[in-house]
Order: sequence, then C-alpha cells, then structure tokens
Amino acid sequence: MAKILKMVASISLLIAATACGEDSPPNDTGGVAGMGGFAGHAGTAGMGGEGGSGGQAVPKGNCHSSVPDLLSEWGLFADIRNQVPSEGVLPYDVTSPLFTDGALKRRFVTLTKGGAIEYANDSSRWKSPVGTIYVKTFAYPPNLEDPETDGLEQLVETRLLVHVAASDDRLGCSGAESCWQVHVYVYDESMTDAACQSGGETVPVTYTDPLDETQKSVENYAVPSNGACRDCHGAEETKPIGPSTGMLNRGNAYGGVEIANQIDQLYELNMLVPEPPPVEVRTTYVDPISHTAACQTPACLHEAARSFFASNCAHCHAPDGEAKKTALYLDYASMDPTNPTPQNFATWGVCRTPTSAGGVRNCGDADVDILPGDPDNSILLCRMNSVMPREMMAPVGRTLIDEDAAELIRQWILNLPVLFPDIATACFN
Amino acid sequence: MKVKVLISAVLGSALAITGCSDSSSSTGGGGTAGGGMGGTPSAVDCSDLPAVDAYAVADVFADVPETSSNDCTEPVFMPGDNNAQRLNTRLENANPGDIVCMAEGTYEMENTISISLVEGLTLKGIGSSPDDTLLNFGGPGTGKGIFVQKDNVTIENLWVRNTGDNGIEQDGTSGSVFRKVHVSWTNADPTQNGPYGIYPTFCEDTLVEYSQATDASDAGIYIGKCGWGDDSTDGGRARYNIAARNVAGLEVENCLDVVAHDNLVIDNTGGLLTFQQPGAAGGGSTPSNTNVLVENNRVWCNNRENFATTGVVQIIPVGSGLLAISGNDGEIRNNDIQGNDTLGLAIVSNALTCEAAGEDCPPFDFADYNPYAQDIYAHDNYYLNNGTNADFASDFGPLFSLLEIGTSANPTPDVIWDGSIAPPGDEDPGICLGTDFTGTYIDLTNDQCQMSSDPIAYVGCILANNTTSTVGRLCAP
Repeated sequence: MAKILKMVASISLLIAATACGEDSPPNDTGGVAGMGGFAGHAGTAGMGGEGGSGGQAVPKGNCHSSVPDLLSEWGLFADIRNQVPSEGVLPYDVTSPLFTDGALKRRFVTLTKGGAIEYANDSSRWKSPVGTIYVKTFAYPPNLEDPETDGLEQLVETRLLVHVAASDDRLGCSGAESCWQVHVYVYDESMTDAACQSGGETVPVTYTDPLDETQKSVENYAVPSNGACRDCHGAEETKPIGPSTGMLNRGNAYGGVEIANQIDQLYELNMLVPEPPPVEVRTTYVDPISHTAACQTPACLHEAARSFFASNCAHCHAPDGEAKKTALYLDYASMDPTNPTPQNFATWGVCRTPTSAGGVRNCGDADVDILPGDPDNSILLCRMNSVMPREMMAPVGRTLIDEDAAELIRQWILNLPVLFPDIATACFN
Repeated sequence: MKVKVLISAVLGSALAITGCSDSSSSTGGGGTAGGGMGGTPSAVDCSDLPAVDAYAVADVFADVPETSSNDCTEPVFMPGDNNAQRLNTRLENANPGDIVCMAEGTYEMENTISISLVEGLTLKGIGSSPDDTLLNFGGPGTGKGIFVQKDNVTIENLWVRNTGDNGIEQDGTSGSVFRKVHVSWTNADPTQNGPYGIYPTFCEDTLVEYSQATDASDAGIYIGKCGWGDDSTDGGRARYNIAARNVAGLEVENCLDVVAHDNLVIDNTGGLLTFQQPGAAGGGSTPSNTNVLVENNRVWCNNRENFATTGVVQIIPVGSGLLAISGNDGEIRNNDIQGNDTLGLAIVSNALTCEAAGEDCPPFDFADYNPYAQDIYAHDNYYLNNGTNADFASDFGPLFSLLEIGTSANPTPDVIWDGSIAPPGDEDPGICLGTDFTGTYIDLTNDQCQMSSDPIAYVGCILANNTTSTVGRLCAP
C-alpha cells in the first residue's frame, strides 16, 4: 500500500514537473520588466499576478515596512508553488553548487531597470547593474510519507539579493551610490506564498530521498537571519558571490525548456555585455562530484577540488572575500595548477599554519591547513568534517557534513604529491 | 616539543646568567617601588581574590558609571519566545542612532545576534547591573553571541553567557563601545567554553570598559589587529575591566596604538599579554604590535590551569603575569604584578615561543614579520611573590629547569628577557627597565650584560647605551 502511494506520488511529481515545463513561462502575468523601485514603499502593492491567493493564509512578515511582506508582492513568480518565474525572470543553474544541507536550489535573475551584467572571462564575480534581483529558492524533495503531500518539492525559503540605488534604500545605502539588500522569505504550509523574515528561523524538514526512497530529515534547517546572510555576502559591502563565468557557463533545462548555454542566452537577451568569447574558451568549473566519479586522475581531482572550493569556500576565502584577512585563498585563480610556486601552494593552505585556528578543537595534531598526502593531518578536511559552529567550514549554511565533498577532498589531498611532485617545497622552505 | 632545539638555543645562556646575576640580581626577590601608583601596593593573598561569578566591577573600581536611564526608561524589548529572531529583526529594522533598551530578565537565545546593517545602534539592558539582563545562549555547539559589523555601535549593561563561540565579537568597524558588559561561561568542562569573551578585531577606536570577562578558553578580552585603518584613529582602549579565570586574561595582538590601563587581571593562566603574531596582519601585510601601552593594571595570581585546546595560548605557562611576545615600541609601566607562580614579566621573541611550541619555525623574513621584541620600555612596575612555583611542565619548563629558577628557594627574577636580537645583532633592541629599576632581571643569551655599559641602569640595552629618541614610547633618556 505504501509503495503504491509512493508510486502515485512520484507520478504526480512527474506530471507536475511536465506541466510546469509546458505552461511556462505564462504570458499573462505581470512581468517584472516594467516594475521599478522594488525597495520603495509604494509601488509594491499592485505588483504580481497572484493577489488572489496571497495574503490570507500567510502571516505577515516581520521585515521593515519598506520591504514587501510577501514574496508574491515582488511579482517574480507566475506560479510560486511550481516556481514558474514571471516573464523577464530568467532561471539559471550553476555547475558547482554550495552545499546547504542537501537543499535543492532554484535560481533566477532579473534586471528590473535594464542595463546589463558585466561579463568577465576569468573567475572573478560578475558586476550586475542597479535593478538586478538574484532569486534563490531552497527546497527539498517531497515527503512521500506525508499524507498531505501534493507530490511537489517542499519549498522552504526564497532569498533575494536586490541591487538598489541609494535613493531607493531606506538607509541611503549608508553613503554608497548603490547597495545590495538581502531579503529572506519563508514559506508557509501551503507553499503558495512566503513571508519576509529578517531574524532567521529554524525549520525542521523531512523528505523522501528520490534516489533510494528512504526518509531523510534535516532537523535544524537554518533559514539565515539577514545578519547571517552578510556573514558571506559581506556587511561592509554586501554583494552577490555566486554568479560568475565559471559557474554559469553551461546549459539548463529548467521547467523542461532546454537552454544550450546560459551565458549565450543572457547575451542574446541583452542582459550581459560585452559579447563573451566562444563557450569553449570561457572559464568553466566542473561539478565536483560527477567529475570525480568520471575521472580519477590527480589532475581531475584537482579540478574537482578547485571547483568545489570556488563555490564552497572562495566566497570568503579569496583576495576580495570576507575572509581575506586570513590570507588563505581557495579561489579558482589562486589554485591554478600551472607551474605553482611554493608561495602559490602556501596561498591555498599547503603546509600553512592557520593565522587563527581559534575554533578548531577536534583536529588532533593537525597544525597545517593541508598536509599533502596526509588528509587526516589537514585542518581543512577536519573542518569540513565538523558541524561544530566554531570549527566547521563553511561556517554557515549547513548543519550536516557534505560527505561526498569530504571524500573528494580526502582523495585530492592524498594525491597532491603525485600531481605536484615538488609540493613539499612549500613545507620545508 | 623540540627540547633539544630549545635547550641548545639557551645553553649559552647558562654562562650569561652567571655573568649577569652578579650585577643584576642585587635586590633578591624584592619588588620595586611603584612609581605612579600612589605608594607601594599591599600584598595580595591569592586565596582571597575578589569573587567574579557575578558582575564585580562595581566592587573593584570606583566610579562605575550609572547606566543612564534617560534613554532607557521604557524598554522596547522584552523576554519571550524566539528572542534572537525578534531581537535580530528589531536591530535590522532600526534607524541609525537608535537605542534598543532591553527589559530586565533572562533571554534564552536560539541564535547569534547580528548588527550588520544599521550604524550607530546602542543595545543595552535597562537594569542597575549587567546581570539583570541575561542573554543566555545555547552552550557548546552553538555560534557567537553578539556579532557587530557596523560602526559606532554600543553594547552596554548586559550579560552574555554560554555562547558556543565567542561571546561578543566585533569585526572591521570603528567606534565600538563595550561598556558594563559581562561575558561568562558555566560549562563544567571549561574546554567547552567559547574562545573569546569580548573580541574586537580589525577595529578602530574601540573602547572596552567596566566590563567583566571570565572563563574564556582563549582570551577574556582581546583587542587584535586594530588601529591600522588610518592615522587619525587609534586601535582602542581597555580600562576598568575584570578579566578572570580565562586562559589569557587580557590580550592585545598585532595592534597599533592601544592602551590597556587600570584593569584587574586575576586567576587566568596568563594575565596580560601583548603579542605580535605572524600571519595575523593588521595593516598592510606586515603583522606588528606597535605602540601598545600597558599601565596601572593589577596582574595578580594568574595560576589557573591552562585549558586551551587550540591556538597560541596553549603555550602559556601556568602562572604567567605579564607576557610581551615580540612587538615594537611598547611601554609597560606602573603595573602591580603579584603572585604569579611562573613569572612576573617576560619579554620574549616569537622565535623562542615557536621553538618552545615545537613548531617548524620558519626562518623569519623581516619583510613579512619581525619576531623580535624591540624598544620595550618596562618601568616602575611593582613585583611581589612571582615565580616561586614555576610551571615546569609547560613548553618553557626546560628553560626554568636549566636556569634553576622558578622555585621558592630561587624565584624567577622579576623580569625575563630572552635576549633575542634581530640579526645581524648590531642594533640596540631597546629593552629597557628604566634608571630606577631595582628589581631582579635575567636574560637568556650570552652577551647582553657584558656588552652593556651599565647593566643595572640600562638592563638589556646593548651596544648603544640607550636610545634617546623621544618618538613614541621608546626608552627614556
């Protein structure tokens, strides 16, 4: 009986997904292209095409009065439950996602005031114009043992990064010309709308793993406070950290619509300048886990590790990141495997004593970030395998260990002396 | 630990000590008269220190300011459910300059309190004591208590307890004030306590006053990497605080222009520390601890077991009063240093601490880091009953064994200098104890005293007799 239920549920999920693809993007919802002043007090009331369903079941949010209470008020979605974006809101995917307790992510971008994203062919982060909204929904597969399930993904929260001019920011961007606001919306039970929550929240999630149909749970899924958002995105200057060429140079099939290459698509839609070089010469990350599965050479491991670090560590550990003061740089450029010098090795942690391992309690005798060939004496791996707040890396965004990534990094550290025969020069200089 | 290296590094010093002791240990274990301290301090009984479970600053220091009630007559925040969520929301939605007054009571905090958007906020308890407003965090396995990332924020008159990570942290901002703040832990196993109590880093013009930090598994009050922003700002000031039962009581690391004065530093593993650490850069890329003044502090009975499980503080010997590790242009004056079982004041190079810790010590490159203490002026301090029961089990223990000091029969001299001089060794390191110094002194290398023209008057100032520079806090002429 249970099995039949599950089958029915998975079929309905399939149908839902298909329907989602066929119907989107609907043409009759209010597009966002013409909307301006998202952060303004006025102008949000009449937005969105979902006025009918929103606002009743969902409690009002607790954000500042200048911020829309409900996600629907932003008009970003034609259908929130199915995460169908409004016209002008582009879905995109990334190659090397940040691990956040296994949550699925749906990403969108829209440029509400025109302009274009500044393309960069290296691994640096894109600069996006005023009016840009980056949208990221965190979701889990359905809980098929929940009799109430509608068979769709369980939506937990949607986060917005909104680039506003100082005149549209209630704090005048603290003196800057423009700034990035962070807003977090937490879904209610119906998952048809979400309420603004600036103070953080803990949400228990139970879901059925689609791979093996086992029940899994994330007991303390942490919806970040706005402050926690800035732990990674920056408090002094808040900014997006994900969108870059390495992450987006790929296709996607969101909602069943095949996009050959997302960067080409952005360029063709005049959302990105200047014209990017051909696909094959663009900086391109790999999916760390599938790349490792497909190719076990030390070089492949390095590329996989480099891509993993680029998205899971380098948002802070980079010359322009929040952890730049640690001088441990795990960004893609710093980890270039071409003719590294001892100094290059030390930059990404090889035989490097941390400036402050103040949080590390349980790393045994490990006293350097990375000891080539010896993962068990590498603080970096120890921190990946921790869930203690003052010890774990990344320090926010997860309560669980990313087991697949930890195994990848273990293999990579083991293979470092093979890939870089003279890596020990970093240890005995 | 590389005992061999350590021993060999100081073997020559046995000779030096012999040579030195004749001329410098003239007054036995007696202390110096306290210059600016209004007479000789009375002897401290280490078994009868002030109790610090509750906020005790008002018992120890006169003139603790009242918490002004005119701006906090009506509390705008009360204890309830989801306290952290509600308080974070309140702070996020505030306007610059707002004063958020918290009612008395116990607030169970499920999460970190973050001030990361609005500048100039004040968060304060409304009670007559910080202990009236308790922010009770979730213990080991949880995060920071209060995290300040905006300028001109004041945290006042409240109690932060049992955070998993640091109690109150400030990162990269200027003008923060921490006044009448109490930070403590109650874990039965103190190794589970958070690392730092009050932890301003990369700060400008930070003020920590009338606060009390106890039980931290690293430093109770730490000011680090501060003062490097621009010439118009100082690093910060710590005054009228109590730091007790921590591994390190009060620590100033890699800062420019910081003053620590009139603090009570008791019952820590190491009392008051000024550190210059490699890799933890403040300004630019060259870490330095420069122009730090340590004045009028009471540094008593810092004999607590070292319960650090990480970090450089693990090497601190139990019973260390005042430790100056590397650094430039420091001044240590008029402090009352008593009852610290291993040592009163030690001025040492990180080259020595590195070896003592058994680490692979890199050859120090002066372009990146200067491991040598230089131009440290330690004068008019009062020393009594220090170094009578040294921590021979610490990484530095072999030194004390070798020198046969640190016992009641032969106490550690009042001041230890390791004698390390920046190569090529022909410049005056400017380690000065002042013309009035009558205490006991030891250096650990073999040619300092002999080359000094007047070892008693200018102990440790070799080659050049003494500096006459009037810039900064160099030795007085």
